[in-house]
Amino acid sequence: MSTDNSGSSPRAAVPDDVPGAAVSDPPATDREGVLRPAQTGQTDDVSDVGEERPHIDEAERQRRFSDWIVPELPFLARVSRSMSRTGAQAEDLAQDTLLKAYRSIDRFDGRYPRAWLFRIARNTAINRDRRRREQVAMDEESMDRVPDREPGASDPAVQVDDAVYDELLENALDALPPDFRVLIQLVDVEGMRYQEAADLLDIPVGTVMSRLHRARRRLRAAVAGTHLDRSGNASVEVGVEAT
Amino acid sequence: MTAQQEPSFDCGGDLPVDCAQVAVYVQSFIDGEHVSISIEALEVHLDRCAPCGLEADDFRRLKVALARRKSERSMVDLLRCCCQSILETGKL
Ligand SMILES: [Zn+2]
Repeated sequence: MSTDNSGSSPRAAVPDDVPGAAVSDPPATDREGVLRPAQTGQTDDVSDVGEERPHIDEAERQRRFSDWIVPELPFLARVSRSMSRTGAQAEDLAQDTLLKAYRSIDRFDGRYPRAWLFRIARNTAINRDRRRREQVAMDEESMDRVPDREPGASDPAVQVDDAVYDELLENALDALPPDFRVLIQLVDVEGMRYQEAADLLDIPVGTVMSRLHRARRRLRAAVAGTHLDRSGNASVEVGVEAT
Repeated sequence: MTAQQEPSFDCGGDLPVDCAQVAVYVQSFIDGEHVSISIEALEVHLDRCAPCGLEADDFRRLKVALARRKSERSMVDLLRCCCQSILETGKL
């Protein structure tokens, strides 16, 4: 990541992964776009040639970044994770995205920061993966072998899929009753055993199991459909009980 | 110890445990907790009964996604430091 031409002359820094639109799309359009695989191939259409870039001073740049971008860090962490194979990769992606957002925030009108950040992260990830594939191909060629697709290399469609999954999951967690949510937190996020969670909450293990079961069925119902097309299995049976 | 829901399908085959039992124990199985039926029988069922197998896959994916949230929290802390640095120096 080059860190040249940073604060001193921000107008000169036009990150190649930043969407060029001065006005962001509304979320519905963006989500539709996000889900359309053809669009994930856009990587180099991000120059802002011919566009008016209103000059903003450093104080304004910092204010916009603080107001619009910083509140979205949890979102950025989630999507970066979903677009990366390792934690280190995800951290690099998120940091690159933040820097690009900072440098190009004069081109952003402040509407739908999530959609804007998502597009920067996605384009950055696509370029990262393409560079890695090219590197692997070059290495393989020099070793006189047929280049294979890099094992586990993330397909942009799958990345988007995971990002949508994580967002649906986030919303579904918020919608869970507190008794259910705390168990998901303890057992699934923190990795506690049933007995530990039962002791902590002072409830029987059987109650832990039944609440966990019901909570997970609700979450599963909420995220259903985000990944089924991939396996070719059509039907989504969602067992949400009336609780 | 019982799960409340009724299974919405029944493979009706000659598997060692039926779908109803799988529905009761699949969560504990995925969590690596004690289950009071044969693990081997459970695995055979999940392998051969497509609805139960797919449901178990869904729950595994859910668990993986939830576990990821823990590392995301520490990542948010890291990103806050990055933002601080960007705001103060214009770079990372
Ligand atoms: Zn079954």
